[in-house]
Amino acid sequence: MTHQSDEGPGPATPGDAIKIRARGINVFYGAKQALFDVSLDVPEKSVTALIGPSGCGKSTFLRCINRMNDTIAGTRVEGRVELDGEDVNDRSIDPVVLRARVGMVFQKPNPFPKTIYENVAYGPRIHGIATTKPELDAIVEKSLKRAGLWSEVADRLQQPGTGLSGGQQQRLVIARAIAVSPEVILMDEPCSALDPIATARIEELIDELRNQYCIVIVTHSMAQAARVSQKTAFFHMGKLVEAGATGDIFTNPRDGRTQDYITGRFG
Amino acid sequence: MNEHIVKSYEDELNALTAECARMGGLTEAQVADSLEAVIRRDQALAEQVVARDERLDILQADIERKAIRLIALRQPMANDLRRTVAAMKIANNLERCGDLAKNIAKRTMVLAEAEPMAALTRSIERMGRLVSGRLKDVLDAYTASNLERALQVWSRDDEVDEHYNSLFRELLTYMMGDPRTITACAHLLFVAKNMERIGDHATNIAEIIHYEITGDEMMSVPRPKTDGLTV
Repeated sequence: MTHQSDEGPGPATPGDAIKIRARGINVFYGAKQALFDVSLDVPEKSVTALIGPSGCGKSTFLRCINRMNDTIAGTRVEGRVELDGEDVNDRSIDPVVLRARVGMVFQKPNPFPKTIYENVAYGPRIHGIATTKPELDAIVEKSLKRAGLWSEVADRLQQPGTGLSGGQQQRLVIARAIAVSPEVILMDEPCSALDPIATARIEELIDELRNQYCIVIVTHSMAQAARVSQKTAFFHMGKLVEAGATGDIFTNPRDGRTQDYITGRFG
Repeated sequence: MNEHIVKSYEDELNALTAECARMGGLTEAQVADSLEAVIRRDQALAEQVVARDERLDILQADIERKAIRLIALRQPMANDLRRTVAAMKIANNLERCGDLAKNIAKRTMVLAEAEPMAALTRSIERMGRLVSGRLKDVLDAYTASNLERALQVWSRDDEVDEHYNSLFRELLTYMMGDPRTITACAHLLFVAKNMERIGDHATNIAEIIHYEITGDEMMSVPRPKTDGLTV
């Protein structure tokens, strides 16, 4: 049984290595506490879905992983988030380097106002991953192929990224994220602005990428969490209520609050 | 249990469970009547049982249609999903019980023309009452979502097997003693086997109720057969 109690993070899926280990996370926005003592293990090479009603703290938790909360004035984070055993909040950690290791994809696709090529090449260039043109070309092609976009844009790499459709833009942003060879990809509602076909493409891509990356996805769609993730964590009012294997959470949740939420009942 | 935010969803789930309970009531009556017919050698009642079986088939098809529609349109999760799947599975088991009752009724029509065998009829009656009672108990447990009651039915499956085994031996004795009884005894053997299977369906339903309520599958421990004569 992979369910966990409220006290501890519990095992992930048996046999999986833990990529991210969060312990006792409290987050305050000024005087308001957004997360209460959250502990969660995120397994390597798999998709973990964070679900819960609006304002439950799931995006806040997501942003603790690559220290995006640092960018919001008045925010205080307590507790430990370990990436491969290393505390991401340690003084020695450069947030810029951390965010290259932990990429992020947002709800609204946000390509740079540059060409498709530059959108993907920008990261590897500034992080010094590739310097020569042939090196960059190779990374751009590989990343766009991995993101399932290459065949659609190969002949127009010099056109602006913003000219693509919403679904294509989102895949471009994913290509941009994987161009810097991250270890973790965080996705905050990556499909909520997309139609069902574009959503299916992104979901297929997520399924593809999980062989290589650790993926954490925040979603409002129960069905999407059920489809794409192997582990699901349910947040409610800033607390982690329950986490476990996705199949268990959606057929047999242990906590009444999880049950009420996923079945659409009054909580 | 809190109510669904979408009321029509709640109504559809309730309607599915209610229809399944209604089908259960009808199945119970079919089994009880088929038993009554065989005991009283009542051809008219047997004919009624045969004629009424179609209603169970129609109900089963309707429950399946409703459940599939609900899965497609509402995407039920967690306990709602288990409830939907349980209704569909229980309806299948009930439909099978109905077929077995119909088969008992058909055999009654043949048996009514043979010489009555009082002792055997009493054994059949005892086994039949037991099986009818188990079916009733498990259906009550379903309607009331009563796990304990379902588990009681589940744990008492041995009793039916014992009755069946003893009837089996009794019938063999009769057939060896007087070959003229073989036709009637063969029919009675099928009647007994049918009742034993109805008992098995009651056990299945108990397991489905367990899954619906707890979310955990019931690992049915293979029960040791008490008689080397049966398989």
